[in-house]
Amino acid sequence: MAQYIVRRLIALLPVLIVVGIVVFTVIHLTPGDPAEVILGESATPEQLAQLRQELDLDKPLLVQFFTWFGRVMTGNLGESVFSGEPVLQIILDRLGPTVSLTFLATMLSLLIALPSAMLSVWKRDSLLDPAFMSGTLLGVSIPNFWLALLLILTFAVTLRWLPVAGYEPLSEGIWPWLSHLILPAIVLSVQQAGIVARMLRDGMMDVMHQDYIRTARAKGLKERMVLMKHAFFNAMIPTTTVVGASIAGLLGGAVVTETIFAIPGIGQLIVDSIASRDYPVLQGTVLFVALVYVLVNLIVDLVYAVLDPRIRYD
Amino acid sequence: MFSKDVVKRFCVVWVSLVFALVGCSGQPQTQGDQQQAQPQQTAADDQQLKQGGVIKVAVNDDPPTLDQMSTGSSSAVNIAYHIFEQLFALDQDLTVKPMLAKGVDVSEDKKTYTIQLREGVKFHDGTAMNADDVIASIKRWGSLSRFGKQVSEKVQQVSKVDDYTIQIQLKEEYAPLLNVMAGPQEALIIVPAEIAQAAGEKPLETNQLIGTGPYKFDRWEHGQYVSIKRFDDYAARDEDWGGLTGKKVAYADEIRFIVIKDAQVRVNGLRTGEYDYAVRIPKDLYEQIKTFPEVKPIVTKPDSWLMLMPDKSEPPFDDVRLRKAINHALDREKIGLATYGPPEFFQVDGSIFFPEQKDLYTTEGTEPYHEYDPEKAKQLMKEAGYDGQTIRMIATSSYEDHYNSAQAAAEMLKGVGFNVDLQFFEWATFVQKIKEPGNYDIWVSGFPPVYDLTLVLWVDPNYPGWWKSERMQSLLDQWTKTIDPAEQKRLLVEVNKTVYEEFPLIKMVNEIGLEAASAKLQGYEDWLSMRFWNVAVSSEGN
Repeated sequence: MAQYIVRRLIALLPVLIVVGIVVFTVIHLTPGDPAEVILGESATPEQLAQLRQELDLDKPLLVQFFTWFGRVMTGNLGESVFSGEPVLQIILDRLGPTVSLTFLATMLSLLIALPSAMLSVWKRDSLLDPAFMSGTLLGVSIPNFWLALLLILTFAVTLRWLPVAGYEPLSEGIWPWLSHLILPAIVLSVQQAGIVARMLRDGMMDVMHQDYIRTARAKGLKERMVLMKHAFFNAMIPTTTVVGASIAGLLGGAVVTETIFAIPGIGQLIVDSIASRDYPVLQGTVLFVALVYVLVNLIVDLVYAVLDPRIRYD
Repeated sequence: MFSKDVVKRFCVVWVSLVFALVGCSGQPQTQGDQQQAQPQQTAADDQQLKQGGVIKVAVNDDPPTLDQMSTGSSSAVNIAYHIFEQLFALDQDLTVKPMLAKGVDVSEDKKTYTIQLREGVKFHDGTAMNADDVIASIKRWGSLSRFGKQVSEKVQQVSKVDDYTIQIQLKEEYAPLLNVMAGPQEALIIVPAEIAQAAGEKPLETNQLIGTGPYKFDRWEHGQYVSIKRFDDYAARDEDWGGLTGKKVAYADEIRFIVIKDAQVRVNGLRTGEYDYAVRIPKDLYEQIKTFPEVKPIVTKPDSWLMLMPDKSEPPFDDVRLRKAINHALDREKIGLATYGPPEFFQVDGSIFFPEQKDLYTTEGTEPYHEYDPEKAKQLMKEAGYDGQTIRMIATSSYEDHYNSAQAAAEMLKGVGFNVDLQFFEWATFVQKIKEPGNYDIWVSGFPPVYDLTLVLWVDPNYPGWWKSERMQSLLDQWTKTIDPAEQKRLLVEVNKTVYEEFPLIKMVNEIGLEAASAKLQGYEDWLSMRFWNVAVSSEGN
């Protein structure tokens, strides 16, 4: 297992290098540059040339790439063109809100998805199953921005139970942290729960026809136990993949939700740095998101082995 | 767990919100109108305002920098106004008044300006402002700001007479000097000499944000908020001129500019009392806002005006007849309605300045602006030999008003027979595209107010659109040599006539801005942009 993990970690390097080359090339080939954003449309060519020189943007693209890449190899992601802050620090600052939101949204979605999927399979011949199917479809289909505005109007504006938007770190106390995050977490979890629940239900429905389920029933196990002990864990493997992808997606930034709720997370950072052409921040953040994706995938693969003892990585 | 009443309220809210969000807008209610009708408290009521509290302002964007000298971005200057001050600044009526200057003497040949400075004005670092700081700031402005560079070309020398007097000697008469010095964008802000010298042509860093304003820079959490705090040693003027000059009293302990990108959320935050002021409210929310008793709509004008800028350096729009054809093809009323919605938020006005700019505004000579005549447009196109070639029109999708007006205008141009290919780009790409003539035939954008004819961007022959007009350059030359109001008026009429004969650009409409304040904000007066001195926030709920 340890060898497998090391092998996978080593395999990360070429992935990150390719991502680095692609993001650098794409962003530098996109029209517009930070000098134009800083100085605006009225800037004279001389002013632009001068600022480009200060930002090293006048150097050939290859020189810029190797300078950046050389720094990245030593763990230095550079500094923001606008604020001058180290990119790594900016990412770390934005990580707190994003991790908090991802954690809460995932917990909520699992809390909704797992019991409802199991209930739907258990009562598959009743009205509960079609109701569940409709519910998940609704969950997947509701646009995030619409649900977000609806929740804000209800819980923040009308009932005044929760703040409209913003973020407070956990260090300010659990309630300020939770009260700012609960609505965006609900928004994100509704869609996530819909996908996870459907995946789990379909997976469980499939395994219900397997021989080992028949055997379990034949030896007199109650239906509830058959579902919990045998069907659930076997159906969890494809579900874990979906949960993993969803976590990775949220850690990479839930742009719309972060924008509406003014949460200063990774998604906002990416959008802002694209708009302002803050090359070092954008490059560093995309690299970070790529790293998150591959690490989450690695963790998902390791969870498979825990869920199904037949899977071995030795 | 919950009372019946709460559950009932909850259900009603959900059902009504579902309907509201699928397209119904709120109906005006008497309660809101009553709130609207309440007279605004003015700065004259200062004595009733209490010190303390935090004014929370929901802004739409994180500023690129807070260095007012290096940017004209409204997200930056609206905050910077509180931190920095100018020698001369605009008052409530957009006319020039002294701020850090005490007075100015102009020599008979109009080539020497002797400026006396106010004594006892302190910077936020505790040092006293003097002539050395002002001279260093002027030098930085002359090398950094586009407007400063314009002035520095005319300046022979800036020298110190004594600690509180400086002298500007011009190479030639340059009447717009004080107007340009008072301009709030890329402004001549006064900072300590050592900071001006250390920063040079780079934007000020956060530890260099030292001004003389009523609030001092406190903290900037990028992407989240900018916080400024009351400067207790602030030396206020006695006069109450409004705008950016005159008496300023900092009532609030802190002003926090919080980045909230979604306009609907900014409005909601006002309603719940989380914010005291919100910028950039979509005009279609106006009717809805009027119904909220806890929110006051704030009208900001002048805001900007929208236009089509043809590339005059090459065919087809090097032919003035085709530019005239565009003018005849545009139905401005419809463009305004399509772009802004409520008619309260646009003006069909042909002047290149705004009605609020009393010294610069005249509509004389703008008569052709109102000649909407599609048949005449078609005739001019025929005369010019337009053969249906593709007209590449570009605009930005980053601003809703530019996006909407470009679509409306493009349809009208198609209506008279122009073969329009309309393309949208996000802002940074758009700004780069317009600088190359080969990229387009027309670009669509807007211009914020400027405060002197020499500051109008597009009269520069090198500005994208490339208007090379000897007549205009001659008028500009005459403008820089007169301070006589009658002569200035004559020149402004001539400028209008030139614009409506040569059509360097085709103006669409003036925009009037909409912002909103919570009822807790006291003393706030509508102006062209937000500012929070002479304003207090009451601790009582709304």
